[in-house]
Amino acid sequence: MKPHWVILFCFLTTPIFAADFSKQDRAWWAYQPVVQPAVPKVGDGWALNDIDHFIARQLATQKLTPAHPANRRTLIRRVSLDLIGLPPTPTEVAVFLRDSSPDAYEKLVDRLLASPRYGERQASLWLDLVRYADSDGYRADHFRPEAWRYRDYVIKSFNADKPYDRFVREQLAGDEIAPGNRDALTATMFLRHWIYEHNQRDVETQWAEILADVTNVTADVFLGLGMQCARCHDHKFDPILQKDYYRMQAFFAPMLPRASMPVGTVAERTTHFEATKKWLKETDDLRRKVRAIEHPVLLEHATREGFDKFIDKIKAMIQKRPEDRTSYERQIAEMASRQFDLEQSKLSDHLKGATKGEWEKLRAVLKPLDAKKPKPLPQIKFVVSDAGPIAPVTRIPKKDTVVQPGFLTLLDPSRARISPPPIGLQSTGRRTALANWITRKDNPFTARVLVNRLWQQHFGRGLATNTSDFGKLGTPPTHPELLDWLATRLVSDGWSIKKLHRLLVTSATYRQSSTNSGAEQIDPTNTWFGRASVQRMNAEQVRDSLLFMGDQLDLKEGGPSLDTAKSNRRSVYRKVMRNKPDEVMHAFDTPDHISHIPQRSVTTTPIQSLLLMNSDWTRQRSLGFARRLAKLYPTDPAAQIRAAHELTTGQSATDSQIALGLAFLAPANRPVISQKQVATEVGELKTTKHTTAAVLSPKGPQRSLEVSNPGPLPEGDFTAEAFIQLNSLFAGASVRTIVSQWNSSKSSPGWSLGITSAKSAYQPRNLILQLIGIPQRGDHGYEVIASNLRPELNKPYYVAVILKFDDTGAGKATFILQDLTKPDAPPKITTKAYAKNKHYATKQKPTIGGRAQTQHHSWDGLIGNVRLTNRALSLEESLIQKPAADSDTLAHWQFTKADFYGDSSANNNTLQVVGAPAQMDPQLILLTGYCQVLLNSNAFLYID
Amino acid sequence: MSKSYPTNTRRDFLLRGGAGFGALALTGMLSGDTAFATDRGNHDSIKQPHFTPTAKRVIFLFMEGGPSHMDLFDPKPLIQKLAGQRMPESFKRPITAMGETESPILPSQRQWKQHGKSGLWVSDWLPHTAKCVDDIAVIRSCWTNGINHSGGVCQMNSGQPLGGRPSLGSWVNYGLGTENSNLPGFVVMTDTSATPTNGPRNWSAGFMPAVHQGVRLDHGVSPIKHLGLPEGVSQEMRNKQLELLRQLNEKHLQNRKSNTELEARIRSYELAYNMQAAAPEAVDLTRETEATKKLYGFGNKDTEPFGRCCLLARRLVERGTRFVQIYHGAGSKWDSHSKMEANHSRQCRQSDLPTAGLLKDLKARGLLNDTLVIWGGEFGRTPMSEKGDGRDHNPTGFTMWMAGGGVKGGQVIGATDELGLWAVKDRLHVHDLHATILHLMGIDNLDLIYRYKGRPENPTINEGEAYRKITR
Repeated sequence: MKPHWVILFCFLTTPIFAADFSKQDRAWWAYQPVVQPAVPKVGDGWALNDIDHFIARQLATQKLTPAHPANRRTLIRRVSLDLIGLPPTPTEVAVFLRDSSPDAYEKLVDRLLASPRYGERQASLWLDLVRYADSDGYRADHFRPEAWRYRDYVIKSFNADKPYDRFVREQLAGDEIAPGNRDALTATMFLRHWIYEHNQRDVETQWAEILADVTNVTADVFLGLGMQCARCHDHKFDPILQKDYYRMQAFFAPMLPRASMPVGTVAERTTHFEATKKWLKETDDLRRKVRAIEHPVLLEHATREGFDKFIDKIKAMIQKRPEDRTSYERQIAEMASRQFDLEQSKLSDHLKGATKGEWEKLRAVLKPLDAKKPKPLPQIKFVVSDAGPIAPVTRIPKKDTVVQPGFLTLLDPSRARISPPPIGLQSTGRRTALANWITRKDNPFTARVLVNRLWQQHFGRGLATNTSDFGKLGTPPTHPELLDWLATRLVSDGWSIKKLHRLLVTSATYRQSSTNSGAEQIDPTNTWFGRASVQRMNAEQVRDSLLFMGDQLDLKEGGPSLDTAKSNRRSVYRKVMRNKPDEVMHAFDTPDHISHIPQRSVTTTPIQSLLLMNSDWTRQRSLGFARRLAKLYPTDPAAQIRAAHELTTGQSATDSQIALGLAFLAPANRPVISQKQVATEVGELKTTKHTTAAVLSPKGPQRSLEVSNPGPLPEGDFTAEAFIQLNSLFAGASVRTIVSQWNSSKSSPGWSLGITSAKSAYQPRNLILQLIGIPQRGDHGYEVIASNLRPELNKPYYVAVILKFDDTGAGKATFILQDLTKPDAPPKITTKAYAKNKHYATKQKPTIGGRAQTQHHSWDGLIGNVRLTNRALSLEESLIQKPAADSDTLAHWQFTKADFYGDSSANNNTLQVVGAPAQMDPQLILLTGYCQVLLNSNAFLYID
Repeated sequence: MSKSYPTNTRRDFLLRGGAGFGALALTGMLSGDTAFATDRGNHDSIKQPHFTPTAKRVIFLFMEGGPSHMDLFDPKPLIQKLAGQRMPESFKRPITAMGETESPILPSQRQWKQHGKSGLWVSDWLPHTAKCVDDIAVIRSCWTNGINHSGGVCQMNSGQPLGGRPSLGSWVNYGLGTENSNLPGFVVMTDTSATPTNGPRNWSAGFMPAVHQGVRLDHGVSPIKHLGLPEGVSQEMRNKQLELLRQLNEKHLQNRKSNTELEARIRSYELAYNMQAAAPEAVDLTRETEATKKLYGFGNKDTEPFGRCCLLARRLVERGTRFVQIYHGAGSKWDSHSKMEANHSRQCRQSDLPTAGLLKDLKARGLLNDTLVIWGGEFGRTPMSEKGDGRDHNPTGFTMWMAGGGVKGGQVIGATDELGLWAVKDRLHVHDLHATILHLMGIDNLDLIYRYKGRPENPTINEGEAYRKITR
């Protein structure tokens, strides 16, 4: 193989390609029509289906023999992970091993293809291709609340075995092909996954980038063509002209991203369109006058990013009446208008004098007419349509050449034929024309590209290596005839993807073992598929399998995307935030979801090892796995070891593996449990920096934390501080307690810092201090000091209360509330005076997340970084400004891993868990350590 | 004259190259030294520099938010003269983020002086940097495309305003690798816990394997995540775990000798173990003398946060980390749409002394000779005012500087127009700046190739020319 850069160098220095294509260009394999080749007569006896004859011929040519068939245990693990992304359960393995029927394997494959898990696995691969994400990317990285519907559409389509041509047509032009079908409209979100900058003033450039993105991704995903190279110049290597790039882009030029769009059949849309047109005409004059008064005022007072920062050209487009805008003006004006809000409700405040009178009169006339406006059809969000029936002009930049929609000049130099859709759709029909061309049975790219991608999925490498570029930069296919045979078969099978999977995985080629010592010497890269390629699990498989081992995987299907930290659902349902990748998934090579990714990197890094060995998340998975084994076989370590091996690798444990396991699990290795090791759960606050905190829940296992053996405690002036994140309020009147030294009895002295509940007399979500002094002269001594600062749920905050008493015992409490997602914003501070409660001092144990001797008033969420200081701190001394301890620090609990429930002050106020089961069994800790080893082992992480 | 790896694939080479596993390839695979971490035949990376490098490592001080060149390094008498007036019609109007093209010109309130033997102009906002000018080449003619922070920061890192491409640090890490496999080759730090614009995308490996991405150091005692043992695991148990893991994996490998990836993963646990030992030492600032700490501004709450990052950077490059990037003002703190005076006074107070301290310390240790220090933001600021006392973003002309790593100090490169609005002489686009940095490291920007989707990609997107005169 020649080093490519040398070729690159030559081409960069010599101009090539006039509009005429050379013979060589025309002869390149990828542009040739797909013809069904004859099946070679090689490989009888070994071959199980026609694929194998093609493979056998090449193996014979290379003087290679295929590997032995893989054993059944290997095979069921391989095909399960491959088709549904999950390993088999022990029962599934047992059933398959017992099945002596000749088609046992085919039955297994059919069961997997029929599983709803199949669509989830296939979708996770497809989503890389279409750069799917749940956020905008860019600085703000705004969440896209509707994007998940596309993900569910893809899962559903794979599960229903939607014919691939239909799948493609819906994604490119669902709005034109089936305007009344919600699924088809959802499919057009394929054209919405571009990154988007919410405050970009250069609207036209951003729109040009979006059109380029859509053009590139369409060519990459469906055609395997490196069109993007031709954006600025004719392609240096392939016969793709710059003109072709813009001919392709012209299909998308009329596209309009829609925040909301009607769902209706052609008939419904047409009726609605005609009625609306009529209404608009009847009210035209009136609306014109109203707009002339309203619109300039609305623009002047536009909120969010405002109107005045756009250049004049764009301002003019926005100022035009929608019905007067050209398609292009509509596209740009609507893109720009996403940046500001017009507040119709404030108009009457802004309008003055005679204008206001005039306006009120006009509005009064318009009001009854408004009622006659046709009712809107049902709507769907975050999709695309065209901007109108007339497409904007597409020009090649700098050259100013106007181009019409068309396909590769090499294949078809004429203009594409476009049939305009019914008028009610107000669309050009261009995207339908493109979709029709892509899904034509004689399109040389579409079927080849898809079968090659599936081949890559099952065999580790495509028959043509570059699955999204069949041009000269890629390598020609190793088995061109097989590729064409499969492409023909796909089309003749009605574009059924499931049938294709079945064909591939039931071949003898697929069922080979991964070892074949002869072939490994001659063909180290396995170019000729004379054995199975060992593959590392991808990120989804790693995360799902880790959850699966501990029986923690939640198999609920569909719905809005979820934060991986909070959900044990399959990884395909995770919230894909472009600027905040999930740690585990990203370490195992999930892409950045900004551009099309045909094949993920497969890296091996010490960062992965550190993560799998040391992170809390993976530790929880090992613990879950250990608990499962301990429950299955409470007293039998050998049985635990056998089950662990079977679950993680699909193989039965060998004698030496059992011996190694027993040696590890020997009682002599049991750890000595110190109090610090008792508890289990630490979580992470959603702050801008990495901050751990204790997870506390009224439901346990960790309800609250208390100091069992208190050292010095507060007296007189003091400060209590903490980082908090609250998940829920009590429905009743109880208080979510942050930290306290009180038993809830109004006749016992003490104090308690907390947040009020739904039915509180102090209104919900109020940060309060309850202070209970020793009753004197009839005063019951109980007082609530309400800050009226209201932390929001599910948001991290720094909270503090600073108590300062004067000589009379009265004084003031200063509360601080700082949103930790905005650490640089000024904190909210309030100071409240209160009466005579100086003598609150108590021997009651300090409790975090609850109160002594009661299960009520407990916290739900996270609490971290709790500090008690026996002095009224100044603001400059607060925990966020000066985290260091001083001589007045009574206790500081940080909940970092290294010093779990220990107190980092000098007073040794170590915490213990309230509500947890008794101390964790040392044998369970040992078993957790063992499980962790298996979950780090190559036999688990790789698929044979 | 092939500069690419001479064999078919890594696995091919390793198998044919003898018994299993060369040490060179091992280090490469694990530490991100060149592109061996993936098996996909994308590795046209270079084994040795294209030409003799003058810089072996880089410390990039990123002033995030856009420092005002005409108030720091590029004095413009005309803005004093036209103070309060509209920009003359003779100047071409740019599109700016806040649309301030017709706002009145804001004069600079700075006192300007020439410094050092070279007599370079530096304003009174940077008294400490001013003392180092003889080591600095001030580039006054930078320009970029991104008009907003996101696009600007993204482009200054990855070459284009849209995301998706590897950052410069990733390219360098890919091209040259690290000199110490126990430490990450590309490290990112921020002066506060705030996240820079775009977040991790700024140090992303884009379409390259994740092994080349930057590692962000956390604030606090454990800057690299997951180095410490989890709760409930003693060192004794960890040792037993690693031993059991090794035994299971060796057994598993027996029938799969040809798979180098499996062996690489076995070794990755050893490397992780070594990293657990090496990294804490590398970031342990208690080993520095009081005098050194003072040089970086320790003991002063304004200067210490950035000084701490600069000192960490020196310790890391000393130990073989190839590319360190420090964000000062993480989260666009240099962005001064209003109240320029207060904003830049604070930003300069925080960053000036540690920056000079870093240059002096590197020089004293002989490290400045082959360590390139870069200073600058994603763009500059406009001569036109915003909100009366601020300046808008200016991508069409701004200043950056470079020092060390073979750069000839005491020179000014390029010029902006009389208002400081457009770069006019020796204009250097971000691609040219990247090409220049790569050139100093011995890399030809168009010859460093990574194959993505089969297409040859280079760090400067087929553009960019090194400003070679920077070394003379």
